[in-house]
Amino acid sequence: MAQAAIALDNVSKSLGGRPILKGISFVVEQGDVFGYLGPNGAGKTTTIRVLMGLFPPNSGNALIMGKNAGSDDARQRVGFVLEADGLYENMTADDNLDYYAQIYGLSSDSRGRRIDELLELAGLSDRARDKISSYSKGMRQRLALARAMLHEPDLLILDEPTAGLDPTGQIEVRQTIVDLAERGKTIFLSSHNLDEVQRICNRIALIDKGKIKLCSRIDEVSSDGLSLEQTYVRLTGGGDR
Amino acid sequence: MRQTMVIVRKDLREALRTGAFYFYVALILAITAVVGVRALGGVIGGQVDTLLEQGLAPAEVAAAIEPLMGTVLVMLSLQSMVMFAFFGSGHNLVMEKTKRSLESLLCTPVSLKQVCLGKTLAIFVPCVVVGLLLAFAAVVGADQLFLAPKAGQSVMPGAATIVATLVAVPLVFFLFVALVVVLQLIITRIQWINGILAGLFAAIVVALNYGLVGFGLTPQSIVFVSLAVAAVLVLATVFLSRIITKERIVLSSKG
Repeated sequence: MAQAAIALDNVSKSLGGRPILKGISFVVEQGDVFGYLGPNGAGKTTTIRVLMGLFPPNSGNALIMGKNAGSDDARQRVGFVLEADGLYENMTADDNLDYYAQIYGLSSDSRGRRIDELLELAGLSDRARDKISSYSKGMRQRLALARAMLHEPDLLILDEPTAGLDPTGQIEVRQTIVDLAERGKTIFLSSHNLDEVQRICNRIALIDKGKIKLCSRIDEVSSDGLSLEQTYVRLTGGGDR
Repeated sequence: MRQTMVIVRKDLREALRTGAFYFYVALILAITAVVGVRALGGVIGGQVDTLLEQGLAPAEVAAAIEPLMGTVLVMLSLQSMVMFAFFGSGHNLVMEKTKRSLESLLCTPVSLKQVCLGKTLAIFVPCVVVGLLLAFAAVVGADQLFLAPKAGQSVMPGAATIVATLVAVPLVFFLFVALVVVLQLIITRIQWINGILAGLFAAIVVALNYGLVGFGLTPQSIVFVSLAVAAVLVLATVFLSRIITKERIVLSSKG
């Protein structure tokens, strides 16, 4: 059996003395498009920061492809789009991608070709030499996705990639995610958007108040007659924290 | 080291693309030219006049003025570097924290040490280049404008002072920048820290100026003072680097 892409085992994390994650466990298998749902303040971003090695867990284990989440090996195999895209506004799209390509150790021969491919995939080839400050939010998100793919990672961790986008931007970003999933990438998608998760994910987990309330295949969620929306409201009370 | 240099090159390129960089170069150039050279003219010119009135020969005047020129070279280079760091290159890291691009960088396989060293070098290199160029230009300018016409010959700082300026001053400055970078990485209100450090540094520079000019310290003394300051900075940086973590950096980026 293939190694799990993500394995969280009883992970707890407190910040400033306040428990944010309370012993969460779930597994994301390779090839999954895994939706990670929860209200604001439930612990989604903290989970992602643990997975990216930014926050070491207080207890429990976080593994990426069998490696410790904070290790260089793990980070080399993960592509990411965080809540803030982290692009450099004074630099062009080309330069932003080139910088990360060098950080990931891509050779100078392959860098140019890879950047061209990804700009094409993101539909930004004609804006490659424009500064990021002139980009729309949707274009920035697509570029951030392209950046996440530079080093051909096995796993993509996406923190609300369609948040704040207009409907067209959401469709474009969602389509890019579907394209990546069809290429066999494992995708961990944190989102508020239940409709989006229902459309593109095969498995989901629901976190609320730092605890996993649900982890199942998407088609099993509605087996008791409730829609995903109804299940979400029932398990979370429907409100932000 | 390769990834560190990638960070340095990116930061330098980014700085060179902003108008603020050139504005601050021009501003510091103007401050050094107008205030520095005029002050140098006042101090050095006054000293030369006094020595000539005492009946010293031009060669004796030149010999007596040489340590003062050395002091001026050391202090000017250090002041220019620090001014440029605070007003010019130093704001890069602040922007990276507020725009959260630093958080993305920390998710890559780059280590925290590489990030700290890269950010330090990216501030250090342009400041040292600008600081040394301005200081040497100001000293040569002061010599040509105020000293040579009166003393009848050009007087430049001695070899020991030039070595101190090229080695000891950049060493102290590098450690100072490293300390500032570490503080900027872990503290939320970076502007406050910059302000406090700038004030502290200005006080130290004024005290050193008073000590060096007032007590006529030799280049050797300057090297000893520099090494003592460097040792204190090393201790402070090592202490702070022990508490720096990615978690602290991310949490301090919220402000």
